[in-house]
Amino acid sequence: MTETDLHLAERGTAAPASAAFKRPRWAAFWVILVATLLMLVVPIAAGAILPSHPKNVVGVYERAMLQTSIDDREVIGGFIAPQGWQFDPDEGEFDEAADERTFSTLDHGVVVTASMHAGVESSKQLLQESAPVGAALVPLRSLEAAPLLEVNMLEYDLEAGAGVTQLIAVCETLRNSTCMLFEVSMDASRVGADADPLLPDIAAIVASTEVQP
Amino acid sequence: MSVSETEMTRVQPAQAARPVVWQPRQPVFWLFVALLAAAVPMLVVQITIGSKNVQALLSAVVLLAVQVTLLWLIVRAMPKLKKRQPGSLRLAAFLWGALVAILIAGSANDAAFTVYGQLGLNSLAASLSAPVNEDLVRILGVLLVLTLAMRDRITVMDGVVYGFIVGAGFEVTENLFYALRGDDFLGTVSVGLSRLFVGFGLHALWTTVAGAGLAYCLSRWQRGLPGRWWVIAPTMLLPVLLHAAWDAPSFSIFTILKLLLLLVLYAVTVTAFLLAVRWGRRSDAALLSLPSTGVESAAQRLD
Repeated sequence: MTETDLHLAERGTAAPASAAFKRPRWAAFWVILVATLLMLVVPIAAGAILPSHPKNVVGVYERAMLQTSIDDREVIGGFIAPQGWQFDPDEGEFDEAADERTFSTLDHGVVVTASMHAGVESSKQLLQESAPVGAALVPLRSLEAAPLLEVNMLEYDLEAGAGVTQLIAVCETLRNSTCMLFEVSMDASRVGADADPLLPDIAAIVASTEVQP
Repeated sequence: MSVSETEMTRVQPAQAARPVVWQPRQPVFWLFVALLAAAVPMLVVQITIGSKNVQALLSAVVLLAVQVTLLWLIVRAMPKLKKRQPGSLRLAAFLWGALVAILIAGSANDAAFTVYGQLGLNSLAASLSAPVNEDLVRILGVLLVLTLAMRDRITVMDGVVYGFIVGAGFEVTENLFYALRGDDFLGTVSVGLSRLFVGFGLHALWTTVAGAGLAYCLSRWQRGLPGRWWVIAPTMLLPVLLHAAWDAPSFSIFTILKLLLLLVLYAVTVTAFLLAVRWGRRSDAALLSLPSTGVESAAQRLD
């Protein structure tokens, strides 16, 4: 369509007779009526057919918010909660910042607990302080991180065959004082031989994590 | 054409009687009356229930008056090459947006929210349901008013003006409900001002774009030209997408990033609105150049 066509769209046949202008326009009536009814009826019908989504299961793109305070200042962090995982509805709505949040797979094979930490000296210190004494000397692994963030992980297995625990610290690098700590506990069946140290859902959580300096 | 826009505005060519809302032969008129009759008491009940105290209600009404004034000034500022749209139709457009559309969209949104919740899409529910339901019910209002306006020749500018007014009516009532959520005077003012300044006139701007597309097709069809109905798709899709992006869950926890996105979306919206107004103005100008209308004769006389 040329520009001229657009501007001169009004050019056409001579003006219709007045009677034609005034004739009843049933098409518009039906379009408005049917569209309005569909708008109201379709979701009600769909709601009656569809099963309910469990209240304790994470939906699509739900951001979990965490907060802590330092020097009378609130700092917040957030991440996209793992879809399809369970959570405790008593912890409140996701968009209400909490101190700590826990998610687990439906079979409870993997449990993730996220918490915010402020006034941290370094992610290394945070990880080593959060790990049991027996794991304090386990070397840290540095993981890929978004700009202005650093991600380090400490993985330990202190009880043979009992599964693995991963501590993952996502820390901001502007002030180097605020971190979000994930404690991932998984049973032995989840521990694979993949090159990627993180389960896909955990990797997605870490990738979506934001921490306020 | 050397005639100035101001002079054009004064031209009142001898044409068919100007369309008014009272058109008992038109089925859409009775549909409008029926929906309006149903909407008014329901809205009164909702406002009565929503009003927590007189102070909050009064401050909400004051904010509403400010908003109506600002929106009215924008309508006044729109170019009027052909002539101003009849007052009764402008009032009908406003009432559709303020009373009918808000109730239909509210009910449809509630039902859609339930469905999206059942699908685990709670966080996206607003972004998925509001643009579809609200933009659709508003464009239906524009269709209704344009149908009544078609006793006379319509142009893209009719869709622009009626679209803006339908959206403005919708926004005013929506903001009234938001403001009434405040517990006291300060709460109401705070909510009202934030609604006033963050994304002012968005519903009106979006409906303007969609209204322009609809009026373009109807005006062509009215003249016996191919309707080019496909034009409705992009002109409706753009506002729907902008609305969806506006209502989408934030992509970051950082306020500055959220505001930046809102600013970009608002800039795109205003640009689309200005383009729609320009389209309407040129459409009016094209109508004025038609040899078969009284408007042209008048314009030629002015030349």
